[in-house]
Amino acid sequence: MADVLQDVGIRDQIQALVCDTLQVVSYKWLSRRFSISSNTAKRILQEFAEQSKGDNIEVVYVVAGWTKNEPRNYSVQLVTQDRLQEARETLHGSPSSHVYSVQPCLPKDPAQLFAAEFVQAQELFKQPSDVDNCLRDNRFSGVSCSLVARCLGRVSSIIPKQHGAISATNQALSPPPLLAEALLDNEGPKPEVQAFQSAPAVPLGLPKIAGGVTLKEEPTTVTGLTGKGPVDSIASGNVSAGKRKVGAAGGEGSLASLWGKAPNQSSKPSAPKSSGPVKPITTAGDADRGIRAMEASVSDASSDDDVSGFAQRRGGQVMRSAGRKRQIVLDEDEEMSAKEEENPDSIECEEVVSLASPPSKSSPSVVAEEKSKENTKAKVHLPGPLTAAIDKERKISWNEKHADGPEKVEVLLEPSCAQPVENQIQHEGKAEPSSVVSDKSPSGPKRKKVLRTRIDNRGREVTEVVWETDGVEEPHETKPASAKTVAQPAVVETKPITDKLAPSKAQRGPQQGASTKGSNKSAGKANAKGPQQGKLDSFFKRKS
Amino acid sequence: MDTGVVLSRKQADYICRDERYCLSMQRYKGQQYSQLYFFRLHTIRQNLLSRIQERWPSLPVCKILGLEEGQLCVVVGTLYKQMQLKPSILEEYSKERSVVPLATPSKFTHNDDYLIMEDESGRVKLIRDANLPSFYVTGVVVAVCGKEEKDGEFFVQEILEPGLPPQIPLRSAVSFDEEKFVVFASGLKIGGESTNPLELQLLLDHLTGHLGEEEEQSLSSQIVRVVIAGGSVDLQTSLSNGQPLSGKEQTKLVEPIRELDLVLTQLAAAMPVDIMPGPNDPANYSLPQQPLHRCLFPGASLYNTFVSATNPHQFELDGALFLGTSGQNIEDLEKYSEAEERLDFMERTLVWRHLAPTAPDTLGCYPFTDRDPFILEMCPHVYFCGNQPSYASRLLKGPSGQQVRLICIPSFQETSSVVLVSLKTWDSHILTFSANSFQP
Repeated sequence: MADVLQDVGIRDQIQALVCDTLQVVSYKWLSRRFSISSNTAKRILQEFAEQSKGDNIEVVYVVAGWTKNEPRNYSVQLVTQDRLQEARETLHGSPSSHVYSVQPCLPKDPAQLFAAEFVQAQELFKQPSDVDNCLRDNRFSGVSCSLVARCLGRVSSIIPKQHGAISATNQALSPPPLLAEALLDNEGPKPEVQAFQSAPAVPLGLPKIAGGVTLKEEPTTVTGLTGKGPVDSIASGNVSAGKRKVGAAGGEGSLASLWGKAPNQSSKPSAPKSSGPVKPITTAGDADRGIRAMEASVSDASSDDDVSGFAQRRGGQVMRSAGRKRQIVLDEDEEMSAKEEENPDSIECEEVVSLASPPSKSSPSVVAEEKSKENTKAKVHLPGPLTAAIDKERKISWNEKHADGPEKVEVLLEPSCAQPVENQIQHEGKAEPSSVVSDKSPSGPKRKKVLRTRIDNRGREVTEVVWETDGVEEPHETKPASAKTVAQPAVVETKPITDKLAPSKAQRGPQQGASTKGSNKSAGKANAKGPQQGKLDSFFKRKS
Repeated sequence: MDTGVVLSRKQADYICRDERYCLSMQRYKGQQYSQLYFFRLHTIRQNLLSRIQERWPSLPVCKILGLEEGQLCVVVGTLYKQMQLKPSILEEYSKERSVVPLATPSKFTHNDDYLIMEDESGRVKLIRDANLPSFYVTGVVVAVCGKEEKDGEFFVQEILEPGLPPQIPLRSAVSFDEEKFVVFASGLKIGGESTNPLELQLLLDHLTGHLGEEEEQSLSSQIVRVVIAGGSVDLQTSLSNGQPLSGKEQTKLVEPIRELDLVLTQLAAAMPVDIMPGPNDPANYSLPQQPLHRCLFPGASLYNTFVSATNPHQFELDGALFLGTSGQNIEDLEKYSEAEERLDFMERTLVWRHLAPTAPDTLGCYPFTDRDPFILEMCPHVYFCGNQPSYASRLLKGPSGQQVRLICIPSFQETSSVVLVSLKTWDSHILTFSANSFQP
C-alpha cells in the first residue's frame, strides 16, 4: 500500500513536472530521481500515461524485438503512440514495448528527449568519486552484474608519479583525490617537468649569482669541474673569474674574431646554455668560454699547470682553426661528441701553445689537439674540480714567485703542428693562467691575469698572459695595443712587427683581435648581470 | 512489469592477449623498417616451406639472385606493388605546390600496376595475367612458381599463399550450452555533429539492462562483453589551430571525451567493456595503436570491468580467440587493391597470415626490431574489423577445419547499429536503434 501511495505521489509530481515545467520525463530520469528501479519507473509512467490520456500529454514508446523478415536483426525503436501498433507488427512475436517518456509535446529535435536525463547523468557523474550513486553502480537496472567492482584506490599510474613529482618538487598542486580531476589536471605532467627543470637550475643558480653571462659559464664550468663543489670555490671562482676575464678578454676577443662569427656565437650560446640544466662548459660554444672556464678554475685557487696549459692549448687551437667554430668541452663526464667536428685539421695540425718561458720555447709546447685528446687530457688533468682549481692556484703562485724572465704564456702558432700530448707535460712545468680570463683570486694579493702581446726575441709576436697585481705589474708589460680596439680590422692593424713566420703572424693578429675582443667582452660580461655585451669601461677599470 | 526480480548477467572467462601489441618495452634507436620486413619474410617463409613441399615437391626453392633463365623453380619473397597513382612525397614536393588537386583519389589502383618480388638477395618483376596486381598489395609474402624469362622477368605460373593459420579447436560445447552474446560497436563518434545522442542513449540503456521488458532485459543479461572497436570520439580538432586555447575552448575541445567517459562509466558499471583506439582517437597514429590512456577516463577506469585495449586487439572469451582491428588495415587494403566486398579483404589478410600487410608501406607502423606482431600464428574464431560503412558477416571455413566468423562492424554514427555475436552458434546479428520514427 505504501507503494501505491508512493506511486500516486510520484505521479502527481510527474504531472506537475510535465504540465508546469514542460519537462520531458523519461523512465530513467524518473528512476534516478526518485530512486526507484527502472522497471518500477516504467510502470509508473505507464499508469500516468493511461491516467492522463486526454490531457495533452505526448507519450513516446520504445518497441524492441527481433525483426520478422530476414536477416534477423534486433531492433529497438522509439515511436509515438500512433505508430506504436505498426511498429509492433513489424517485429517478430510480441515485441516488448513500454513507455519511454512523457512530455507535453513532441520535441522537434529527438535529442531533446534525453536532455534532462543527460543533465541528470552529468550531475551524478560529477559527484565526488567516493560517492556511490545510482549512475555508478547501475542499481536501478533490470540486470545486475556481479563481476563489476569499482575500486577507488585503483588510480592510474600517472597519479602516483604525479604525486611523487609534485611532492618532490614542492609544487603547489594538491594531489587530486581521484582520477576525476586527472582529466582536468593537465598540469600534472607539467609540474613534473618544471620541477625537474628547476631542480638542476638551482645549483646553476649559484654560479649565476656572480652575474654576467660570461660569468655564468665560468662558474658553471667550475661547477662542472668541481662536480658541484662547495659554494666557496664557486664563489671565489666567480669573483676571480670575473676579474680575470678582463685581461683574458682581450685574448678571447681575438680568438673569437678569428672566424668572424665567433664573437656572436660566444655571446649567444652563453646565455641560454648557462641557464639550462646542462653540464657547464659543455654547452659553451666557444673555445673562449672554455678558456675562460679554465681561467676560472685556475684563478680560483690552485694552479694546475695542466689546466691552464690546457686552456692555453685551447686558446691556441682556437686560433689555429681559422673560420671554424670550436666548442671546447671541459666537462669530464660528457663526451665531447659534437664538439669540434669541423676540425679535421686539428688532428694533423696541432697548435702549439707554449706556456714555457722562452728558453723552453724551442719545442712546441702547446698542443692543439683533437678535442678528444683535449678532453681526455682535461679529464686526466682535472680529476676533480677542486684539484683542478688547486692546481691552477699552484701554478699561479708558482708563476708569481718566479717573477723572472718571461714567465709568460706564449701562444705559439706553428703552422706545422705537432706534438700532442707531451706538451701537457711541458705545461706542467709552466705556470700559466690562460690568456683569457683575468680575475682576482681572493686568496692572495689581488692580482689579475692580463693579456699582453709583445715581440719576443725571436721576432714573433707573442700574446701573453701575465699576472698583474693591483697597480703593480709583474714583469710583463705591454697590454697589447689591440686591447684598445674592439673591431677586428683595428686589431689586425696592431700587428705592427714583421714576423718571420708570416702565417703565425697572420694568425696571431686575429688572435690578438680575438683575444682583445674576448677580453673586452669578458670584462663586460664580468660586470653585466645579464646576457649583455661587455662594456669597455669595466675593462679599463680593471686594468688600472 | 513490476517484477522485483533482477536478472543476473552472464559471464565469460576473459583473457586479454594484447601483450604482443604493446610498445612499452620498445626503445626506438633510430632503426628503420628493414628488420620488420626481414622478420616478416623469414617467419612466413618458414610456414610456406612446408606447404611448398606438399605442393611442388620436385621443384627447387631458389633465391632471386639464383634464378636461372628458363628453369622452373619456386621463389619465396615479399611482394612490392609498383603503383603509379600511389602518393609519393617526393612527387608531391617536386610538383607545383600551389596546384591543388581537384579531387583526392581514394583508390590508387591502376591498370598499369605491376608486382615485384623481393627477398634478401634481390628483386624480380613478376608477370602473369593482368588481374594479379590488383589482388595483392605491398608487403605480402608469397611463394611463386614459375620461370625466369629472357628479359629478366619472372613469369608466374602459380602462386601459393601461406593460408589460414592453424586454429585451436574450441573446447567442447559444454561451456556453450547457454546463449551468450558479445556486442561489437564501433564509430560511436561522440561529440560529432551528425551523431544522434539519443540513439547512443538507447544503446546504453539496452546494454545496461534499463530498457525493455523482461524479454529484452533477458537478452541484455546474456550479453557478456562489449567491445568498442575504435572511432569513439569525434574531436573538433579545428579548434586547436596552433593558437593557445582559452579555458572555454579547452573545455569545448575535451567535451567529447568527457561524454565518452560518462558513457563508459555507465557501461562499465553494468558489464565488461573493451575499448580500442581508432583512426581519429586520442592515441598514437601508427599501428599498433596503444591503449587509450586511463587518464582520459577518470570515471570509467575505476572499474575492474573496464579494459583499455590496443588496436589490433586480441582476446579470449571462454577459450575462443577473438581478433580484430579498428579498421585501418582494411581501409588501406581498400585503397590499394580491389575486391568485391570488405569481407574479401578480411579473408585475404587471414589467408596471407598478416593483419596489415601494407604496414609500413602505406600504413603507419612502429619499426619493430625483434618481431612482426601482425603475423597471425593462430587462426581466430572471430575476426572483426571496425568502422566499416556497412555491416557484413561471413563464416569462413578453412581447409584444416578452421572456422572463422568474419565481421565488418558498421559505424554506429552512420548506421545506428551494433553487432551481436553469439558465442554458442557463432551467428551474428545486428542490433539497431532508431529514434527517428517518432517524429510527427
